[in-house]
This record gives sequence, structure tokens and C-alpha cells, in this order.
Amino acid sequence: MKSLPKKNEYNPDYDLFKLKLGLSSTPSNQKKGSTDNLDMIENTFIIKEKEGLLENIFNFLPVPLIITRKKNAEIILISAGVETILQINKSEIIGKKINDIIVDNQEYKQFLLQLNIHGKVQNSEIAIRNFHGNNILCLVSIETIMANEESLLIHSFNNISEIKILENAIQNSEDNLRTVFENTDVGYILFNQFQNIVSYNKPASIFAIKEFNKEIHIGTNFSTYFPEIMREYLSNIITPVLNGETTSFERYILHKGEHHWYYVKFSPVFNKDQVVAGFIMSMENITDRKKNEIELNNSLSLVTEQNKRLLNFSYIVSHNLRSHASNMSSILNFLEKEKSENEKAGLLIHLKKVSNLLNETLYNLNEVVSIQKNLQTTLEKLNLSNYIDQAIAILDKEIKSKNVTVHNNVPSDIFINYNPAYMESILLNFLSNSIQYSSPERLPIINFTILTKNNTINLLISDNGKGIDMNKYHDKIFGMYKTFHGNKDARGIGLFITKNQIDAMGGRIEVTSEVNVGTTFKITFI
Amino acid sequence: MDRGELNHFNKKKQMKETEKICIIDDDEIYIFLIKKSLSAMGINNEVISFINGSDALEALIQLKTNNEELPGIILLDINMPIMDGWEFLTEFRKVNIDTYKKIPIYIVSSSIANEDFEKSKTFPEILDYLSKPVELETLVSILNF
Repeated sequence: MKSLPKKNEYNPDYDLFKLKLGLSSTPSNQKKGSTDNLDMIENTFIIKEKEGLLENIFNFLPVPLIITRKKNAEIILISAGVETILQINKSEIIGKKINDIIVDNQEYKQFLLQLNIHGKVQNSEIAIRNFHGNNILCLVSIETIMANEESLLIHSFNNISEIKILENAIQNSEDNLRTVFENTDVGYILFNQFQNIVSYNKPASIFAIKEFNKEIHIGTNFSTYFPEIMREYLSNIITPVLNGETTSFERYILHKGEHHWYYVKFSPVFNKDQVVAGFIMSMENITDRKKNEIELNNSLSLVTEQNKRLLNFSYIVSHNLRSHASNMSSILNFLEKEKSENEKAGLLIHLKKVSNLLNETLYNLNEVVSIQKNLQTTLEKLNLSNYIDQAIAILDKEIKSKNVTVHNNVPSDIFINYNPAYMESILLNFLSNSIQYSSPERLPIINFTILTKNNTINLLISDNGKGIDMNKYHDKIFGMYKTFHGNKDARGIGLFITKNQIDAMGGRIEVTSEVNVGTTFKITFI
Repeated sequence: MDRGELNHFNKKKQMKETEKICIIDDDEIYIFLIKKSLSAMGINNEVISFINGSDALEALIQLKTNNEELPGIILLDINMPIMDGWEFLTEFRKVNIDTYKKIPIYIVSSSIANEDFEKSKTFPEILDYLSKPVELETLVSILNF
């Protein structure tokens, strides 16, 4: 610390201060030789000494401070922090105007206006230019001080360039995330541990309005968006999520008769202590994908079913043709060796039988092949009731001979788009089956009725006949050459052909039966 | 064609001339031909034939009940109406005819499906699986006179 100079002793620092602060080296009211004057000079010197101390502090102060004259903006004092920011020596800046280092002086003028009104400017952003011409973004605070009746401005700068770069980076990152968040097709809702909504994106909002006719509001509870009936179910889902488990599922929402499929996922959100602080619910509309999947599965089922039929068909072809061929071969072997004409004649009769059976088999197989071939056959709008009446008329002789009562309860306004030949064949087959296997223990009754369900027409053909033992034959009823009643004339081909025709038209056939009670066939027309 | 792979109980015994040959097959021409083949080979054993498993089972139970001699061999088809070969085997096992007499059973079928052949392995009663047409030599061999 410097020692107090003696009175009238030359002190360069003292003079420098007087100069800097605009003080005359000799105060105007000073009178030489006057004790008062001496005291005043001494006091002044003490002040100046303190100011010298202040300047020394400024020389080391890392905080960037600039003191200017208010009247002309001249820089009269800077702290070491300013040298660091501006990369300039003190001597190069003292005496210059503050405007020389301010990038946007209009902005600075605004600050000065603000200063005049409010007395100070606090933490306002401003850019200053360093020695190399680079702009440095700072927060500036400006205050007015009075020194020797002159207004001085103290500018304190806080370099926020790096902070700003980081802030911009974070902002950009957030903007990017937000862009992704808002532009994804997946709806996201963030919930806190109390299951209240913290944040959500646009697709989530659309989802809530579209499916539940509700707008999402931050702070509302998860459960309020779902019907009461679903709350227990949802609670069972959320509980494990709040225990840290992720869960996901596919679910449809029935909306105006349409299935809207969603892939819903609940993921826990952990805080830094790895404690569950909430969860994210994501919902992705997968209706199109699901429709494709369902169509694909249907196609797969169809292909599997067709493949099964094809395999069954090839099995039948192989079995039946082999059977006839082997019989023919054996008969011919005997014929070659046989000398007795009588025996030969007997063998020829058997050969003819085999030949007829082979013909019949080939005819049946051809019929099945033609059904498969005629899939693209022309459809016609057929009056179902009329076709039933026709079948009844064709089998009139059989109906009368067995004293069968047939009720056609199908309304006359039911029309089916169907292949006419198949329709005739199907109805004749079922009707003749019911007549053929009527029970001798009761008067046979056959009913044709319609059951409409979900816009699908089902035709029920029920009888009170012998019935079929479903435990034994449920998987064989529609098989080729399968017979169930011990009837010698049964060829086991009718139901096989009928099922193939119904399948070929995209329909379904089901059967329920009970021995000694009767049988009901249900044809579903698609 | 003799698959020749099934020999579960490989205990072929000499068939007596008095023993019946049981054919269960819905193909009447095949039954006629087997009978003719046997006759051509000078085998005069009585042939009893049934067009489905149910009739055969009923007859076998009757024979057992009447203490009549059970057949010395069964030639069994698979695909038959009313009761097919597999159902016959299942029911046959239930009536315990085997405890009175072990009857060798041969599958004789037009089926060459591997599925049928594999299934036949699950019945220890089946001695072999023969595909139609059965050669005379094979027939002699299985009758084992």
C-alpha cells in the first residue's frame, strides 16, 4: 500500500486521477496557506488515494467493468476483465468511446434511454466487438455514478457467448426433438407417477379426440379418458409399469362399426435415482397393417385349406386309382393263366365291374377338378326360395315314396349371388340326403329356414332323420367316399362334392347332428 | 408291396389248415381275387370276409362268445365305411380277443401315404403293412404254410 504523500509533494498517480476524473490539479476553493484549504486538499487526496486503490483493484478485477463519461461516452477506466474479453491492452482503449466497442449502437441508445427513465439497466443482452473484430455476446448492466459532479456510467459485462452457444445448441436439440415428437405418427403422452398428464404430442391429441371424443389437458388423470368399465383393466396394466416394467399390446377400438387397431406401449420413466417417476404411453395406429395382417392370415388359411384339400384329393386319387389298377392287374394275371372258359367269363365280368368303378371314380374326380377350375364362374342373382321349390319338385317321387313333409320357410325376397348349377346341386344333395337317411321310426320332416346374422345369410336344412354319430364322424362327414349309415347304395361322394362347391363359392358349411334325433346342415353364403 | 419294416411281435407261427383267414375290406373284387389266389395256391382254409370293421368286430366277438375258433390271420384294409381299419384296431383291443388268441394282423391297403404307414407302427398288433396289389409270394409268405 502506498504511503500518503506529503502536502504539495508531486505525486504522479494523484495527478493521473485528477485528470481521469476531471478534477483540476488545484481545487478552485483552495487557498494557499489556509488550514481549511489544506484539510480539504488532504481530504481530497485521501479520496484520490482511495480512487488509486480502486484503480489498482480494477487492474486485477476479472469482472469486465468499463467506466465512461456520460456526456461523451469516453472510456476512462476498465477492469482487467475487459482486457481479457476484448483482447486489448488498457492503453489501447482508454480515451476511446464506448460506442467503438458496441456492435449495435442503436440498441445501446435504447439502454441509455432506459437508464434515464429507470436509473439503471440490468442484464440486457448486447454484443461487443473485440480487437480481432469478433462479436462477443454479453449481458450488460449500466449504472450512473456521480464523481465530482460529473455523471459517469459503470458498465459491467458478463460474457454469455459460450452460454448462449450452449443454449442455442440445447434449443436446437429441443427443437429437433420437438419436431420429431410432433411429426411422428405415434401418439405420445407423458404421465407423472400420479398418472397425471405432463406432456403430449399432436398425434396423441388427435387420438383422444378421434377415439374418445375428448381433448387432452395437462394435469388430468389417465383414467378419466377411458370408460368406467375399462378402468380396472387399465389399472392392471399400469401397476406393473409403475413398478418398472414395460408392457405393450395390440388392441382395437370399435368406432362407428369399424375396428381401429392400435399398438399401445407403456414404458416407465426413471429419475436419476432409478425410481419410476412416471410413464410414457405411446399409441400407434396400426389399422392398415392389421387389416393386411388379417387379410394375409385369411389368405393363408384359404391356401392352407386349399392345400389340405389338394393333399386329400391327391390321396384319394392315389388310393382309388391304385385300388382299381391293382384289381385290374390281378384279374388280367388270372386271365392269362386261366384255361377254363367259364372261369375266364367270370373274370371278365369282374374286369367289367372294375372298369365301371374306375370310370365312376374318374367321373367323380373330374367333377371335383371342375369345381376347382370353375372358381371364376359367372354368378347370378338367384331367388333362394324358388331354387328350394325346384329341388323339392325334382325329388317329388322320393319325397312321396317316403311320405316326407318338406317345409320351405325361406322368404321369397331372399336373393343370393351364386352359381346356378352349384346352387341346384347343393340343394338337391342335402335334400336327397335327408330323404335317404330319414328315420323309419317317425314321419320324416325336413325344414328349410333362413338365419340372418351380421348381414350374412345362413340357410339351415334340418331333418328328423337317423342322424350321424358326430363323435365318430365329425372330421369325416365331408370326406370323399365316407359313408355313415351302412347304406349299400351310399357312394360317399355327395357331401364331398357339395362341400367343394360351397367352399369354391367362398361360403361355409357346418353340421350338427344327433343319432336318432336328426341332422342340421348350415350353409353360410358369403 | 411288402414294406417289410414292421415286425412288432415277430412270432409268426405255422397256420393250421383248419384256421380261418379273415379279410376285412370294402372292395369286394379284392376279396374275390384273394380267394381266387388262395385257391390257385391250393390253400383251402375257410375265408371269412367283412366290408367294414364294425361287422368284423361283431363276428369276432360272436366267435369268442361261442368258443368257436378265432381266425389264424386278419388281412385288414384301412379305408372303409362305417368303421375304418384304425377304428377296428382300437375297438379290437378293447374287447381283449387277444387274450384268447394272438391273431396276426396285416394291413393290406391301396394307400401308399406315409402317414398311414407311420400310424400302423403305433399298433403293436400289426405284423406288417402291405400295399395292394399283394403278390402271391407275399401272400404265401405271410400265411406261412
